[in-house]
Amino acid sequence: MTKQIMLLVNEIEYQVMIDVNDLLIDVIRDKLGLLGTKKGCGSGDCGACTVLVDGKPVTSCLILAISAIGKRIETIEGMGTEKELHPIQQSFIDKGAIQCGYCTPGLLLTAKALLDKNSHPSENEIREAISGNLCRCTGYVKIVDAIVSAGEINAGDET
Amino acid sequence: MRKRFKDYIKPDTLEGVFSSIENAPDESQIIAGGTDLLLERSAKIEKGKKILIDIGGIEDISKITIKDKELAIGAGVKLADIECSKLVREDFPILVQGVKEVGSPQIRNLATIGGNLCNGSPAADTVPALLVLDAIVEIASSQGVRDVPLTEFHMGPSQTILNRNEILTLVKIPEMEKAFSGNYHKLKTREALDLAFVGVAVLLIDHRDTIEARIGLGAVSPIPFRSVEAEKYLNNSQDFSDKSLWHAAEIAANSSSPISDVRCSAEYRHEMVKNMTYQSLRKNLDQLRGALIDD
Repeated sequence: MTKQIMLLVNEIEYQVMIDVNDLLIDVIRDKLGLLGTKKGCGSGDCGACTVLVDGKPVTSCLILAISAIGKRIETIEGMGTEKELHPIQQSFIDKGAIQCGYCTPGLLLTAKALLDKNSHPSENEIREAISGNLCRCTGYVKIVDAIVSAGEINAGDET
Repeated sequence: MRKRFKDYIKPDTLEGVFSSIENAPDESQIIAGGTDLLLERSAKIEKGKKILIDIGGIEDISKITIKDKELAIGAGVKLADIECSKLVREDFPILVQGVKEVGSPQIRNLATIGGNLCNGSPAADTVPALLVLDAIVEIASSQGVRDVPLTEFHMGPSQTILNRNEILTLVKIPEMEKAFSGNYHKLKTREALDLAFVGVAVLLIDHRDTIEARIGLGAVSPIPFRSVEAEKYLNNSQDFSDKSLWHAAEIAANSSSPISDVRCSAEYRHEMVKNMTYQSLRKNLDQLRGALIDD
């Protein structure tokens, strides 16, 4: 059954026709045209499709679009612009935390959710927070460095 | 291919859920977090299920409370919220250990405690911990409410005692007053997103004159279970010598019925139940005794 629903993505209200079976990832990519969210395994194992729902990272391949009605969805397109990168994005570039880039949107959003509630995470807290995001290129060391460094920049902004 | 449904309903009350089920009892499929149900390879959904009833919008089953000396966790509470709950972290750390072993942070932000129980995986990580905590599940339908010990809830892999018109509403855990020490140990190959090869929950409770041992095992039989024989041996003999702990661990291993699969062999699982049960008994006994000396 198709239904017209409203989704709030990156603070923009989208009216969209969906099938009740549609997954959030497919609606974000195919119907809203926001291609920054990547589809990896399709079974919640890789974290490439991570988006924030009400500020919390979730695998968008394991949530129905229709169940996201009324929730605040944030994708990588909402994080920064090409001209003005989010500090975490800049930190990933500065630390060389990006190689092929496929896991990067998911990792950036996971890192943002972590730093939003804890601006000074320990290395353990970072590794635990990103444990659902697979990266097959970097070995995670530079990703962890980038998140530590972004946290320090964040904390600097506050003072 | 993923199972396709023709309709989706999201009631905001339990009454709404019950009347939706009654309209089409054979076609209704309850969905909570959806992390198991929405998997493309999920073949567990019965034929003829056409309507998804989302219970994620019901406030009554989405909170953690203390009531009549019981911790009551709504079936719709997200695993991540249990992890963060001060009530659970302080008084039931073993449950936090079990919860944190499920999936990944992303999955725990979606998945619910009720879903982890109703999905009926033999390797469900929350179950061994809940078993040793003597958890009781509340089951409700339009006809009323019934309480069932968690030990009687699972019938086999993916099978529970829930009738078609019933849903799981609450997980109740009796408050722990005495000194205790417990832990959930999961044998796995990586830190996140892995299924348990073996899961062992051990809880030791100090009753001053005696010690009560509880042992819950996961992933080594068609359903997670309490190793009653091993518990009886320790609790009746009150012999907590090293030799006796090994003997109890062996009884626990013999009470399991593991299978061989792509991840490891039945023999390995059997051996690891013994080793992990011994290790957990040893560790918690030392912790309990250490705490007594500190007193």
